[in-house]
Amino acid sequence: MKKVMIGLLRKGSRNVLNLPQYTSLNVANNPTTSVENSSPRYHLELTPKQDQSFAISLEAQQEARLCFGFEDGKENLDLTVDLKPGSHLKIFRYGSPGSQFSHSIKGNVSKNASLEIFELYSKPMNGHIKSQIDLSGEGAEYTIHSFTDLDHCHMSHQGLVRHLVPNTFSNQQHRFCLNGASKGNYEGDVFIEEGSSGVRANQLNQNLVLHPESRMHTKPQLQIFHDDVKCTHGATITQPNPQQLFYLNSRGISPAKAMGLLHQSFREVIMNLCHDPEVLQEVQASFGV
Amino acid sequence: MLTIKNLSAKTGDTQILKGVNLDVQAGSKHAIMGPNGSGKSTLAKVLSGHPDYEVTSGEAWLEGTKGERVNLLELEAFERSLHGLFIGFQYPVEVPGVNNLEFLRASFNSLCEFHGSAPLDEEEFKVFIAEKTSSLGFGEPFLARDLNADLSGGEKKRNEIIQLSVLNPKLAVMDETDSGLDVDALREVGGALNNLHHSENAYIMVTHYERLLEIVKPDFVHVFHDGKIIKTADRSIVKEIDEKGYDWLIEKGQS
Repeated sequence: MKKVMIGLLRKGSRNVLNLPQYTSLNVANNPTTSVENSSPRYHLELTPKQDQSFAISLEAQQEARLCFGFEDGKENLDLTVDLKPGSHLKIFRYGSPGSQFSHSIKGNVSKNASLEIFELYSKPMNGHIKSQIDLSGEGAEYTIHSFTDLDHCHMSHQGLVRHLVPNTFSNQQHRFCLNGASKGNYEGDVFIEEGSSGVRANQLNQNLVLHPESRMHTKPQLQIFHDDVKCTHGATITQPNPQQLFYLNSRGISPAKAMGLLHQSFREVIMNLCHDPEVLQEVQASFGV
Repeated sequence: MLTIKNLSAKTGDTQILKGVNLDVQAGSKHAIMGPNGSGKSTLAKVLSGHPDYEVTSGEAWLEGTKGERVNLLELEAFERSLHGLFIGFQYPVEVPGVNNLEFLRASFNSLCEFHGSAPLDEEEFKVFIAEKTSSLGFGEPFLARDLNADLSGGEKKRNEIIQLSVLNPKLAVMDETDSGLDVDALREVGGALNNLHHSENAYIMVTHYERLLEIVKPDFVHVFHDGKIIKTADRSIVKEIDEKGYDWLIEKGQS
């Protein structure tokens, strides 16, 4: 994956990327901040190095895509996102095998703006994600599709989504696959403010446990303070279906390969929700999937 | 090809097979009929190595794809398949998320690995499977879908036949392949079974009805009752069973 540093990054510094309207940041050609006129679309790549904070603010009607990954060492990253009305930000974040990280994201999504996160964690040694996303304007949307693959490692994902005004939308789908002595933790909280009519909020956490020593703690929650809303939340923890495994075995596929096919199919559900070809290309390059 | 001697098996605390003896020669076609609960499908599942069943006594030997004689009961389910046993299931399991084409390739490549030949990549396998489905006269629309998921009964059975064609086993045990098929689908599936049969493989067809057996004409018909074979005859017995049921055979067997 191409890694480019945006601006000068100093440990503990706060880098505000306030992108002016109708300009673009062509990072492929210039690793610093050269500006060229082009369509208002940005692709930003960040390489977190130990403790770092970023703030990203999109002006009205801007679009941006942000990619970053945790690869080695111990990394902490705090990200603040402020999306002005009508702006759209897509975030692809990932954790490589053996990575250790603590990452927080705090976002404010204004009227008709959207924040979409697609994330893939492949056997991080120890990862912790904490997020708070406020949907503060009507028509604001937040979507997150997440797959975490654990094998003798730990991952925790805590998220709070606050619907503060009417007619906002959130959709969260988190999948964990646990093997070996792994521990996964998912705590998702959706808060719907009083007076927020017309809110639609969906939250689903599905977990596949492949090993008797794996442990998954899941707690999706809803706090609803208004009647006229539509909310769903659910959690499942399952083991591979023995009938499916046997069927695959009966066609000459060994137990290990059969398990691999089921693992792949469990992950593919999230992969198929990513409709961004460039992100998918990054995933292919990073994980070979 | 297949020799079963005094095979008995149970599921839970219930003894189902109570001493089955059966010989199947290469090039032959056998039908197994019998009343519900007689053990017909259980025999298929026991041969496949289904974990819900426990063999309590007996033997089952197969002349495998490598020319050797293998004791099926000592092999894992996937090994039985690699040695040349195929079970066509009455209710093929749905595996959502696993692409049908990828599954077929994984299955075929497992066989290649077993025999020491080079596996096929994606493009090579697409060409291979196109030839197979074309020669079977089947369409390919469901190859792109998930394994057995959202398929009609006829499509699931066609999928079993495609697998049979890809794996080219020595012995195919087809468990109620005709169930759930309409007249046209039955003709298609039956015709495909005939096309895939040759002098070096063999079939065992478990069925209740004569309609499949009018298309895939068996050389021998074995009647099951209470966990064992009580009668073996040529296919003329099928019509008699269809007209008279099983009571006359059961009474004869008990007298």
